[in-house]
Formats: sequence, C-alpha cells, structure tokens
Amino acid sequence: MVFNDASELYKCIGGLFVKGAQHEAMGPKVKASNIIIRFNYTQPEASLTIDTQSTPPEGQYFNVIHGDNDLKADVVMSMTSDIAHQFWLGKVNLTLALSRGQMVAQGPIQSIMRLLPVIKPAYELYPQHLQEIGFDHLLPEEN
Amino acid sequence: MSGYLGKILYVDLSKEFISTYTLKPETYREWLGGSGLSAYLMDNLLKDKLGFLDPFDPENPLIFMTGPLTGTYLTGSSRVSVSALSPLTGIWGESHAGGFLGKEIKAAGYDGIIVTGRAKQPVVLYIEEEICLKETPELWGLDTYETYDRIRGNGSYQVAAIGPAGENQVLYASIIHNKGHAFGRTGMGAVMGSKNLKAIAVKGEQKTPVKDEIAFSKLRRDLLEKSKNSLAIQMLTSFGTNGTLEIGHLSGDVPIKGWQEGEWDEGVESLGAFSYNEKILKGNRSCFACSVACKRDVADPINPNKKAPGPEYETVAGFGTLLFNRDLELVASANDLCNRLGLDTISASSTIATAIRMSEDGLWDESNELSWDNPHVILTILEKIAAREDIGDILADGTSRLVARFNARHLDLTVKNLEVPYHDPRAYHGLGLAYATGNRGACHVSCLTLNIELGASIYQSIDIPDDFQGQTSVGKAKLVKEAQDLGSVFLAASGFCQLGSIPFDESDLQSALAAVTGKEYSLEELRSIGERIWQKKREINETRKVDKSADKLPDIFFRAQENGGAKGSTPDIDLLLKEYWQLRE
Repeated sequence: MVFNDASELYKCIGGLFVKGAQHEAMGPKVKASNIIIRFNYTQPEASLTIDTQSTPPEGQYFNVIHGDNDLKADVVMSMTSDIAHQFWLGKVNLTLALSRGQMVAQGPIQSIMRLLPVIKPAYELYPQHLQEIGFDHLLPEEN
Repeated sequence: MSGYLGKILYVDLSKEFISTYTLKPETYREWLGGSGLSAYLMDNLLKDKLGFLDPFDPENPLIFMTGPLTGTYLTGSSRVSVSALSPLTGIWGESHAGGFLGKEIKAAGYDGIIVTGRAKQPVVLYIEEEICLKETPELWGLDTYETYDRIRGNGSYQVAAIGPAGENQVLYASIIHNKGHAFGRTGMGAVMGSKNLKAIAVKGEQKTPVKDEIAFSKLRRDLLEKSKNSLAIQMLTSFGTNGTLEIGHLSGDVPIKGWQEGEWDEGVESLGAFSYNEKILKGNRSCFACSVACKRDVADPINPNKKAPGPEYETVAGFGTLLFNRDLELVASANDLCNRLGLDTISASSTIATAIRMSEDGLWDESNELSWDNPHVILTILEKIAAREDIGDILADGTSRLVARFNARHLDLTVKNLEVPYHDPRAYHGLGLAYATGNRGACHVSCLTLNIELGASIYQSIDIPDDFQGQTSVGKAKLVKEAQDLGSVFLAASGFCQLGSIPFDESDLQSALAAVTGKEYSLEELRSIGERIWQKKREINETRKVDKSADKLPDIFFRAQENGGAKGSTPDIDLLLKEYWQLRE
C-alpha cells in the first residue's frame, strides 16, 4: 500500500484536492459543474467529497470534505488508494481502469465527463504537492 | 443457410447484364462475410489481372457486402463494407458504414452486390423485386443530399450515392449512404464515379433469417443490457464519438496543428464534447436496430432551421485540431460540405494540413492562401477539390502524390498512400504498428488495437498485462497481430460495428453467430478465419507489388512531442515490425 493510513491519503490526495480548489484555472471549472463528487477508497479505507454546492472556505472555489458525510453525491468514484495515487501521477489509463473495474464510476455520464478538463492540471499539481508536504518518496524515480 | 440470403447480385454495367452469384456454404464459413468475403471474391473475379489492373479500369469490381449479423436486430450490427482496388492507394481498398443500407440489401434478398463494367451514361441501380438500371443524366452533378432526395422520393429506398467528387474521380471520394453515413476511406466513390454509377437504391421486404429465435432474443436482451451498463456506450450516446476528444487529448492522442503540437487546451475546450452539445447539437440518430445512437444532428449550415448530420470525432479532429481551427460551426460546415460533395473528411483535411505545412516551408507557392490562421478558406478549397479546379486539382490526388510532386516526402502523412486517421501513434504504439501493417494503409477500424489501447474494450483471448501502457512498444506486436486477426472477423466480416460492439467480447460474437447462423464457431476457428482474411488482403497487395517494405510510418511520428500526454514518446517501429513479422511468418 502506498499510504499507510487514511491520514496519509488525506494529506496527499485530499491536499491535492484543496490545491485544486484554490487553483485559478481548475477551481472555477470544478465549481461550474455544480456537482458533488465522492471518492471512496479502500486499502486504506477513506473517503473524500468535493462539494461545489455549499459555500467554500475563503480562498477556495469548492469544499473538500474528509471522511463520511450525509451529502448526496451526483458521482461516486471507487478505487483502491494505490490506483488513486497512480492515477494522479498520470500513470493509469482511465478508460482501461474503468473497463477492468479497477475504478468504478457511478452517476450520469454527463457529470462524470465534467471532471475531464481538471485532470490534466491536477497531474501537474500532484507531484509538486507531494514534494511540498515531504512525501516525495512516493514519486516515481523520473520525477 | 441462416444469417445469409445465399445470393450475391452481379451487375455488369458495360453489358447491362444482371445476374446472381451463388457461393457454397463452406465459402461463407471460410470467409464469413463483409470485406473478408469481398477479398475472396475479388481474387476470384480478377484472377491474373489482379496484379496490374488500373483501379479505374471498368473491370475493377465494386463490392458491397454485408455480414451474417447485418440486418438482424442485434444492437450495433448494421455494418456493410464496400471494397475495390483503391485509386488512392493502388492496393486493396475497403470502407465501412452503418445506417440502413446493409439491412436493406439483405431485405432485397442479397448478401451483397458486385458492380463491374462502366455504364455508357450515368445510371442509378435500382434493386427491389425487379433489378434495373435507369439512365439518370439529370442527377449527374448533384450533391449526395440532392441525389438522395430525388431518388428516395416518398418511397422507402435506402440510397448510396456519389457527389461531384466521385464524378470527378477525386482519389479520396466517398460514397454517402442516405445523409451522413459515409463510406469514406480509400476512394470507393471515385471507383463508383468511374463506372458512371451515380447511386444504388435498394428496397426489400425479406427478413434476415435467424436460426434460433429463442437464443437470439435472449442474446439481444443480454447485449442491450451490456450496452446500457457500459460507460463508453453511455458516453457515445450522450456525446457521440466526439466525446473522446478531451480524453484523447489527455493521453496525447489528438492531432494538433499538423501533428506538430502535443496539447491545445483552448482548442479542445472549444471543440470538445460539452461545446458540441451546447453550441451545435440538435439531436441524435441511430443506425438500424442500434441502441447506441451515436450519430449527431446539428443545424443545417445551409438552412439553419433544419437539421443535418453533424461531424464525428475524426472530422472534428481533422477540420478542427489538425488545422488549428477552434471554430466548431466551421467544422460542421466542412463536414456538411464533404458529405454533400462526397469527400472523405480524413484524407481531405490531412491533404490540406500538408499543403499548409508546405506553404509554411516555402515548398508550394500556390498554396499560400492556406495557413493555420485562415481556416475559413477550407470551405472554398473543398469545393475546388471536388471540382478539381485550380489547386484543388492537385489536392484531389491526396497527400502522398502532393508531397511527391513537390519533393516534400518528409511531410507525408500516409501509410501506403492512405492518410493517417486522427489517433496519434506516439500515444499508442500498438496503433502505430497497426497503421504500418494495415492492409488498406493507415487504418484505425480494421482491427481491435485502438479499442484495446484506449482501454475501452477487453477481450478474453488478448492478454493485457496489469501494467499495460499505451506508450511502450514492448509486447505490442503480439497484441496487434491478435487484434488484427480477431478484428478481421469482429469488425470487417461479421457486421458488428467498432463502436456499438465496444462492450462485447469473443463469447458474444460466438453466441451471436451461433444464434443467427445455427453454426458453432470455436474461438480458434474465428481467429483462423480472421487470419485468412488478413492474409488474403495482404496477398492482393503483394500481387500488386506492395509488400512489407511498405509497412512504414510517416516521419512526423518519430519526432517526440515536447508537451502533452504523449510528451517524449515515439514508437520503436523497428522493434515492433521485427517482432510482428516473426509472429506472422
């Protein structure tokens, strides 16, 4: 397992989402989707929710919530934490992961497709973020 | 003989002779149908002439062929192929389309149609209870939509017609079925034009015979359920094939500015799935009995109050990202014009992109009106190509002849003279090998490689390692060989569509063939049929002196992109070809 526990996942991937929420290009795009997206992770168990509908903290375009909550998600993405980590490093073929069931997406395809434009900038942010928080040991060698 | 009608219509336009051609059941079993059966027929029809016949010689047979699943009510199985020696490539040519033509050919009582000879005057071939050739000089010069409207009238004919491009023998002229279903590739419209055959109109009432109706009904429900649950199919229904533009851009698959750039966020956003749906979409349509309905309707560029067939991914990429044009309405207009004139959108846009690069490099002064900054000239250029006027006459011969004429072969964008379709081999190295070894030239639809490397389809018999990556050449030769053999059955011969069958695998094909034909096909036999089909097309090319030395990729794909999803990646074509030919031989 890449992450030893949920708190590490929240630091790394949750932190990436917060950076995305603060990002001048990504933040407004996600906000404009007006959807709630839940990411359910296993090994370790964790959950992150992107809430674009309620008022976000200052400096963010949307909320990032750690752990369980009662929000009704429009899109639910489920995967192992390792796949999530590899995905944000740009190492996972999204379509193949979905076809193989390594990632499971539930929700209307129109909402799922809304996420595509933010993936590319997030690929660039994630390695930077890992370095900034002292998790650069999780980066592949070429980074 | 369930699944088949057992007769092929044979029409000699020179002799005004019409008859039927019958094949033994074992021939159907060996070649299945579609372009597989057509390759067998061409070899038998031309015999010793195969090696030297000019594609515009009246004897070049133009063969429309269905598969055993065509015309059944299985979702995603409407396909029909058109084959002939290609005037663009000089070798085996084939093109496929969905719609309703295949179903109607079978409803008229035939598995396919062979047209040979050349009519003295422009004619339309009417196929219904009686078969007849009608001289129709009044239709010559009309575009494909006008032709369709005149022929279809208030009847129920399914029509395949050529436009001015086919009449003028533009080497990449297409055949348009009804409105918007294109037999685009390899210049089949030019062959039809050379025969003075303006259109084929088909009407019939027979039902494609199905052996086991109970098993068929169950399978039909199962496949519909699979289709409904597939995210890829949901995407196609919601956004059409252009739904792949953004995801392709992520992996570096999309051609940008003549394949020279690796990313273009603003352009992809302007041309992508949501822009399409918000700016130009007016509705969607399906082919016969297909639940996917990936075809798009947009506002008719000529009469905006009406709907017209909209551009698909290849056309958005060709007239959009490739030409560095982010005006989606202009892309829709170019698509409409190509459909009406009867031009292949891939070859047309690729040839224009090459002309722009030649103009940039000062290699062709006359092409100065073409530039990345002047996209609106595209429409005028397309008209000139179809009419073979001015520079259009040069562009009408395609990319490879253009670069040869001006000593600019380093700018060629073709494999075996067929323009590369709009998926980048730097993003998917296996696809690069599939292009290089394609029997009709660069092709993304005759084998299953693209679906596999994109990650959209998984087949039991084709091994995909856990750490599978598009941007590696290692291990891809085996994948491509297997994907070509299986694809030759799945896509080229059975009647299944590359898109509609995304969620289906070999067992679904086996079940479909068993229910429809009443015959069991083992996986081994299917692969063997596929290999036979692939080899027959290769033999035809070799007879015409095009052998594996022509299995190459354009130079541009060995120049790594400096940005985007395929940054730094180039296919190792030497390794790919070496391993591939070890497997083939």
